[in-house]
Amino acid sequence: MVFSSLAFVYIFLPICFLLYFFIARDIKQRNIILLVMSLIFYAWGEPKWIILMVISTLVEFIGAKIIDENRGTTKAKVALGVSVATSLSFLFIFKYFDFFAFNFANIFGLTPKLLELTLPIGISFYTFQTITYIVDVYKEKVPVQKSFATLLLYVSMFPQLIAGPIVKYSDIEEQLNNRKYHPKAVGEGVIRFLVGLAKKIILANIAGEMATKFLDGDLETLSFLGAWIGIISYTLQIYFDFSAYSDMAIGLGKIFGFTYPENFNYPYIATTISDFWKRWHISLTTFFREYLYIPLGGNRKHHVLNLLIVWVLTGFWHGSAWNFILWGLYYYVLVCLERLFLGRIIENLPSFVGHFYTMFLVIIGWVFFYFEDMDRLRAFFPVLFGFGANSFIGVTDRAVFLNHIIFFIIAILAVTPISKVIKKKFVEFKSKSNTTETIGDVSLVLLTLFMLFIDTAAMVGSTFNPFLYFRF
Amino acid sequence: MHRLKKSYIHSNTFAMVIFFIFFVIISIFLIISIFAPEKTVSERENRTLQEFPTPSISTVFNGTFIKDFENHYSDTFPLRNFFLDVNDGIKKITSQLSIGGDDIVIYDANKTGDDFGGESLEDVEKR
Repeated sequence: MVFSSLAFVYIFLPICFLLYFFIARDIKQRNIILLVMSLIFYAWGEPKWIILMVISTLVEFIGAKIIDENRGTTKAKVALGVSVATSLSFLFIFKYFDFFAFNFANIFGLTPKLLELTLPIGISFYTFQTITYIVDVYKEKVPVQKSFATLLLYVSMFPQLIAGPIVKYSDIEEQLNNRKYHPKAVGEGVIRFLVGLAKKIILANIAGEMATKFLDGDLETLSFLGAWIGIISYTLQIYFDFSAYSDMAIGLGKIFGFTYPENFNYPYIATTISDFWKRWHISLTTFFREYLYIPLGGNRKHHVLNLLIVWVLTGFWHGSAWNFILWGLYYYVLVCLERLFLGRIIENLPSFVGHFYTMFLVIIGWVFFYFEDMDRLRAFFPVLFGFGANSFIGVTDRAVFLNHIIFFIIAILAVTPISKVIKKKFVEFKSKSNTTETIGDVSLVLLTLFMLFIDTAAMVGSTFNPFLYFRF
Repeated sequence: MHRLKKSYIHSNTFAMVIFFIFFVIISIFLIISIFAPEKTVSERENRTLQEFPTPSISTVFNGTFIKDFENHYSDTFPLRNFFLDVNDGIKKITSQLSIGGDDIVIYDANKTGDDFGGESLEDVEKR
């Protein structure tokens, strides 16, 4: 199921709210309802692979139990290794097997035997979540979970099941059995969800249509400006799409009494590449840092190699194709250069240089990310840098761009922290007196109505509705 | 236990109002859509609407049942035509769909979309 569908907002959610808030009596019943609804949510579009998620969770559940009963022994170590390896092997078989089989066969001139499995939804996310559980149990950071249903609830919870944020078990361990319901958090959650939905269904979808229009056509007839409009549109799409999903997840989490970590912090205002990666998909970079980079030795020993491993895997996590590995390597090189000398230079220059430098390199990065077909990837760069025989501007480019000028203005404002500034001004205005507090609250009610109204219209009218992070 | 940051919502009452407005509206639409008479044709879009699909073991497991059901739900959603108009309004603001005006190129003013057989202008240019 996707958040941006009428079936989710107008069937799933009302039933879920009804059962969760008005039928369930205590936290135990609420957890059961949340678990059942999450499994329905998962099975909605894909009933088959739900079993894989359950098995994967079961493996970690049993593994953690063995670890807990055999502290300090080799048995605990083996249990950790076997559990993590099992989860990762599921991910490998479903996501990466065909990639390796194909390339292996290619090298030796054989006919590849491919599995051609469809990727179970959310597997890249929940595999990492289960790993945080068992590793943290092993390190005695968290107590072992005695109830399988509770562990399954943690893994399958529908707000963050499909596209993150990757919530560490230690982050919400306490909240699973003990959470407070605060009306204000619930209200904020509703607003966060509705605003995120608009970001996805209006901004991300328009950006997506623009990107497809320019980037999926014949690259020989694509103009220089067309290439830039296309890749900038994709830059906007991937941010809106993914951060909107996180907004909706965090909002829904708040409604049900959970606090999820933030996943994005205005990445497109970063001044260096390292800064960008502290702001983009924070829960993924945190995972790789805490569960891979630091265990490998971190900055203490052979950190250049550690960085290489982390970046290649970061790229590969996004998809089992060469272009994603290239994308990871691209950032590896940039981050290394910044650590060596580039970072110090950029920091001493005026900040607009840093913004320009970062945005330019990030946009180039999305080229690697967008084109899975290596021939098209290679053909796109000459167009983008004006080396090819392509025209400067195409017949329709100007018209398409001018028609979308209002969209671009809104979109570019929406990637800046302007909403944060408005929110701050709003809170300042409210705190003046009791009357202003009431005016503020009434306007929030109106905002809720307005957002629900345009979200619904956009959902009724939408035919083009891909979620980019579904593939991962 | 995590502590709540100071909220931008001042009163608990209004916070609950926000939740209840959301909950009540989505529930009302759900109830209406269950009891409203079935529509089968959309005059506005000049097409037949998706019927309620009959489930079978194969369609449930390969996902087509759910897909058809979602299309049915969206096709027969209460106030559908009104929401389509609103959506056109949003699109007009963000991306002016109407062609014309001084700045905007029309590929061939004497031809309509049908002459291009539903192809985009880029496709026609290539030919």
